[in-house]
Amino acid sequence: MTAGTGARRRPSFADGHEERLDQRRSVAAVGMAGVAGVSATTAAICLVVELLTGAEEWLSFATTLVLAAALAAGLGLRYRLPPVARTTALLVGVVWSSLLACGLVALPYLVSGLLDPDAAIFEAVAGVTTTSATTVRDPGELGHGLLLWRAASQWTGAAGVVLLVVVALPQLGIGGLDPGGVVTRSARRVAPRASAAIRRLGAVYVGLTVIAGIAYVAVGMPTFEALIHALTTASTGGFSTRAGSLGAFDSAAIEIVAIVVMAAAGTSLPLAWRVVRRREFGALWSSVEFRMYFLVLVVVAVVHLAGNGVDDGVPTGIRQSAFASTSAISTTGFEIQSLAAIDPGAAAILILGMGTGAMAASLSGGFKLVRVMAVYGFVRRELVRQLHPGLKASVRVGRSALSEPMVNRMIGSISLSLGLLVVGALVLSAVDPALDSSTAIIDAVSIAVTSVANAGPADVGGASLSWPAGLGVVGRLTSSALMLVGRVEVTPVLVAAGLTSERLTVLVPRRRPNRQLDR
Amino acid sequence: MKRVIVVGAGEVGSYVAERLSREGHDVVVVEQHRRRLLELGARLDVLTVLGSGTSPSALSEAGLEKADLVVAVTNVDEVNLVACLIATQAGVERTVCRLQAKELRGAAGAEVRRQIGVDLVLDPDAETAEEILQLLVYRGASDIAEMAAGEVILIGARLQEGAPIVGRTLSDLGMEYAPQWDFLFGTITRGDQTIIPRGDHRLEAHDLLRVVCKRKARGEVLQLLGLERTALSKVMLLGGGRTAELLAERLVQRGVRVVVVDRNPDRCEEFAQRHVGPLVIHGDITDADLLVEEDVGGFDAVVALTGEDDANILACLFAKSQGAKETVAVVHRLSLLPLLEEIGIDAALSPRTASANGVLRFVRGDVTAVATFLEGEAEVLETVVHDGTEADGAIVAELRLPKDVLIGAIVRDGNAEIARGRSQLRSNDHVIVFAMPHVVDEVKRVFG
Amino acid sequence: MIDLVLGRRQVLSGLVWVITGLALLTAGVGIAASAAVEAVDGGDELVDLLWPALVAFILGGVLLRISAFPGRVSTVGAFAAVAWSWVAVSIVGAVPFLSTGTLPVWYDALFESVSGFTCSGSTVLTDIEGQGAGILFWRSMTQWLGGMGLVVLAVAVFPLLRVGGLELISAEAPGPETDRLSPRIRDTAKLLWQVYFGLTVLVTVALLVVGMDLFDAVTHAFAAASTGGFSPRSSSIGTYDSVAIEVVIIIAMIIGGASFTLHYRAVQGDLGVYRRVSEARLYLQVLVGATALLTVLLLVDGVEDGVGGALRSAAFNAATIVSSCGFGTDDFTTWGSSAQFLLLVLMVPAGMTGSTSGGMKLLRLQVLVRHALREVVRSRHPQAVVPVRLGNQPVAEDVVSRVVGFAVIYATSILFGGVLVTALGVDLVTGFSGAVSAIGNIGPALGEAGPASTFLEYPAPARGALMALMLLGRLELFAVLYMFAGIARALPRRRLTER
Repeated sequence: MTAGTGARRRPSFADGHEERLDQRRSVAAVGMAGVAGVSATTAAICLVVELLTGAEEWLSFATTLVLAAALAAGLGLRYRLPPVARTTALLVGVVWSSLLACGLVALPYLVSGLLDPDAAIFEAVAGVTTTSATTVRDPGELGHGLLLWRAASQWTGAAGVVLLVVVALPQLGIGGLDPGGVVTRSARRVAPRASAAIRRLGAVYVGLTVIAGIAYVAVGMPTFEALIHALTTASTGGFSTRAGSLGAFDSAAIEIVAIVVMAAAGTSLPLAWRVVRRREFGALWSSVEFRMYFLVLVVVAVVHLAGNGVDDGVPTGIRQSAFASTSAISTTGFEIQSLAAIDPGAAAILILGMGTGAMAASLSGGFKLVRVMAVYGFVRRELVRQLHPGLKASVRVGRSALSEPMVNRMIGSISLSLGLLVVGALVLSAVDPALDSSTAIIDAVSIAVTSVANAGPADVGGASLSWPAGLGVVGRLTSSALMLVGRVEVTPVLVAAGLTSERLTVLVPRRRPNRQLDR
Repeated sequence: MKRVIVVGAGEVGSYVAERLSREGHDVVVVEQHRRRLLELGARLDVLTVLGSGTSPSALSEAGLEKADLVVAVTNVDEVNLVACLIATQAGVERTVCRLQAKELRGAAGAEVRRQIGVDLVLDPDAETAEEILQLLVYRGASDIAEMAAGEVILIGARLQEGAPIVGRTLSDLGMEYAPQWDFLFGTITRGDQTIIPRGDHRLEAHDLLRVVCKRKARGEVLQLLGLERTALSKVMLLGGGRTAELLAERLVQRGVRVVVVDRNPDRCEEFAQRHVGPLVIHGDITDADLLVEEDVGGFDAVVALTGEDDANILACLFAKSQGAKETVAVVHRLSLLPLLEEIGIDAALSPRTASANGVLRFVRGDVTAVATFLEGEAEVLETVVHDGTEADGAIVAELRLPKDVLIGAIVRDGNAEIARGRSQLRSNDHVIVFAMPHVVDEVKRVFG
Repeated sequence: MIDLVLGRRQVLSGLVWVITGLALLTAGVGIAASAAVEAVDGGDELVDLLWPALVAFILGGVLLRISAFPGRVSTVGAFAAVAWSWVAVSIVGAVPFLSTGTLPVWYDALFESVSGFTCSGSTVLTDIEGQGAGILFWRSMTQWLGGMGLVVLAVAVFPLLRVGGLELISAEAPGPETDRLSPRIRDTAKLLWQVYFGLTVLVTVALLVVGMDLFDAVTHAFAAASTGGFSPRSSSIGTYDSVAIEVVIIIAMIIGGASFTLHYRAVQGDLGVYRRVSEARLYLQVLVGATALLTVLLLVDGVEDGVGGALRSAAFNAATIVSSCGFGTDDFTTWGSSAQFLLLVLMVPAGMTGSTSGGMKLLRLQVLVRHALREVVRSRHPQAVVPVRLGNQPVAEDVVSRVVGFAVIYATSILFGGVLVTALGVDLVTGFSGAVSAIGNIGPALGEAGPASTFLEYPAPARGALMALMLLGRLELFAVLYMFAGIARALPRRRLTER
């Protein structure tokens, strides 16, 4: 080192700062490269389908393919995952990757010119977050390629979240998992190594999809539509090929297949693997979260049935209630009856069910039942503590004790989600003209709930509004944001946005000295 | 020569005893731990008495009647106060008391202190915190001392490669900056040797310089030494003891973001409850994963101030390797100090020197400030020119001073001037003097 | 008289009987006072009011005579006793509505009584102006008695409740912690009632000055100080269409919704106390912020044309909702959805702890928000030790847990209450807003049960659920949850031994 450069005493140490910045960038870049790679592959498949079936929109997919492939290659070749990554870097990576995913998914819609920009963004976000809300009034007008692209965005979106939650980042606590990955039996890791776990969970997911497809075909759905619905049912996405969702088929058999597949998709994947692969059927019932899941499905169905009545005969009524219940709790969002058409009490319990969601480590959205159970355990303990003030007891879900930080984290995430709901509903009702009538208040709330929970149907106010097609630009973008934040959860978004530690710790003006201590 | 009773042979007490004894005072140490006492007795030329500082019999065995000064420096406030009370009642003229409770040290405790007869209050933690703060404010410096109520600042730092003054002689520099001399080079340490330089001395990179300067010239001096001056916005404190608490408080007041790491969960809880600004993390400071997770490399300064030297040093080294701009380690074993800079820690200090300086100053009487350095022998004294002494009215160049003494600055009525050969001294001037320890008495004689 | 009543024969041992007896005596005094008003007004229904008063006296007297005060009082025992006494008083308080024929159906009378004692102010009375002065006075009186709490009054007046007084008060007084204003709990209760009484007198005088007649002034002062919201006029405050009256009422409601311990300190000369307490700052911020936001929304939605009119509506409705009073000037169910939603959101936390307001209380909201944000910090710094703070004051971890537990139960009650009420036969907005309004003791709801309407929109079973929610909210959940304390005690024991 020559004179004049102002070098520090130990130049070798000066690299640390560079490395730090680099780490953050490279984690995000690797994540984005992965997203781009998946998008490119999907685009290639859709391109082939489009060319085989009519070739109207081949250009959209070609563009997307080229762009995504270039991105994947560019980022993938340049960056490697660092050996140790800090949590912030991971969170920033997650947020950027999901933003890129939405952007890439929106691309074919934009290039094809079939959707307005805001509708395209909404459609893409709804796809990636596996929300069933769609701006396409009649999906039948879309070509085969685009239909497949839409469904595939849900399928890969759900896969991405499971990958993130169960395998890559259990320490982030997304989706109701604790840092160790062991809350209950249902969320236990299935293999000591991450790669093996990915293979096993992937096998379950693909298996479920294939079975769903075969079953749909077997009960008489056309092959291509069966493929689409298999993709969107297994991922709890809920996009359909027809305007009236699954109800348009008007087939009891199809509905029953959908009920089974949705219920399975709401089950924890690790649990499902153990049940299927190791033939441990007892494990299913010994999981306290699964028992709760089953109970909630039944209770919601019964309440729905009680509210909705059995005007069309008992079997139909039961089937409709079971369908509504599973569709809501697994946050799939298929509809055979509009929420506006049923009894308000039944609609209320369905919306509540969407908010709750299904099991942790499953493909569904919402809060996840395990968190609800943890909160119940917490409340119970606090009540007992009033009776016995010296009580030392840990919060339990089933037999496993939860650590205090974990319980606090779950409750914190629920408070934050509730806050998000309130703000979201307020913004929606304030900015969107369609939601500003004096009776639209419930629509604003239900859109906020179903967006954050990644469920979908929200038309409770009346037939006047059809979400999201009836919304304006701002309303669509707001609900897109809610869906996205709902999927990756509030905490990571806040952290990735740089809203961290000191500013939040205390929420007091930083420069106010503590006079009391000064004396 | 004075007879001094030191109560408590802990870290502070033994160091004070050592320093006083080396200056030729009669020192008696009272301590209730036998082993500690034996160790001290074997190492130093002091009298040791086994017993508690609160026991009149132990104190009188230590010769309370003949003592000129009692220094009570155990780590328990109450013991120190009782020891001082006993001493005052036995007619000891002056007492020094170590007090940690803020209220007792402040205005609220003035009456208590008067009743007990405490003449000087020491708080090693607060003094250490203050010293670290100075090091952080003057980043890159290895020692900082404010003298003459902050008008004069003493900066010790290693001369950086590429600094504008490398390769120049002192007289050369003197010419360039005349006639407004705002700074003066007091000592130069090169290798193991510390000297008080003459004009023909040529500065080299890696020299450890001690510069005395006026307050307003501190920026310029740092720049001349090749140190960058950037704003301090994030500081990590490794260790959540009382020193850290005091330091954190000061830093937060300055608008600095502070992160504190401590191993003891209860301590963390207490710290977090008591202070609003800092973010408190529970964890081991030598846990590399934790430090990486907390982004130790992104901090402007990392200060390790636990009670364990090895942990402090390791943590600082790791922080440095991660990219932390400045690392400061608190070390208690003085013999380790020379090593630290060698291996890349920017500054190190020992809590005992900080508090010992206060006692030494007090024992020496008129000397109002003293700075001693961790390496090198030289001391810096602040003393007052008394009426009718040799120095009163003398021109600096004509004053007969020993070879190892240099007058650095003269403060008259609150205005600081860097001393020059033709400066004239007057009575009641405060004078900042660099001196080797063996000539300290001579200096005192000259100035009265 | 007290000595006469407190006999030596002790048949029933237990706090619950003593407390209930005392509360009934107090209610009896209230009914007798209403009878006096009726006598002055003309006295058509004098007898109809006198005999319920007599019933209350006799019941209360007998209970006190045959029951014994237990030596020791457990927290849970106190909670349960207070909750049961409220149920008893609500039932006895419903009798005058029946006896005068104001509300001929028993469940309507009970609803009105519960709504009054819990300071909700949701009414099922359609023809208000057609009623006699006495019964209307009693209707307002129930709120005034319930506002600061019958048991607090009992502790203040009766010497025998020295032991366990704090438990009793904390079971009834709103808020997670009860500040002791004086070393003796009885004095604290007395001071609180004195401030409350003073406020009521002050508001009455102010209303008289701005032109209300004496009867209206007193009854409105009762409802404003207790943040209840019953008005002897069917169009509530809107009847007068007077800015001056609205301003007085707004100020009265805001004071009623703020902590009475703070008022006491302020009366003692320490006015800065409002600025120092972070909850008080938040209370004012919420009021100002809500008013501003509502003004904008009203203008944007075109509900009001001028800024002045919008501000007037916004300020009144923000104050009436945040203080949980529930007086009305405008029918806000005709406003835009965002303004309505804002009101609904404001109903959830409502006013300050230690006030007569309902809702979850702002303090708990503060703790909840800080708790959630702390988790954000912890996700970034998993090892961080961050106390939850209010202002600069750290809050003990067990208090945080209790508050969070409270908030969760509160939210759950709203959700399940909402589903239940909706399922019993109203639309979603009416159902859920009814649940929020009932548990928060606000008064009006949204949808069909707005300020211009009555709670007759809800079918009778739904009103039963709403009554339960009102009591749950007024007694701050725990007291009601411990009503069956014996059962509650048995439950956890079994589970605890397993751990």
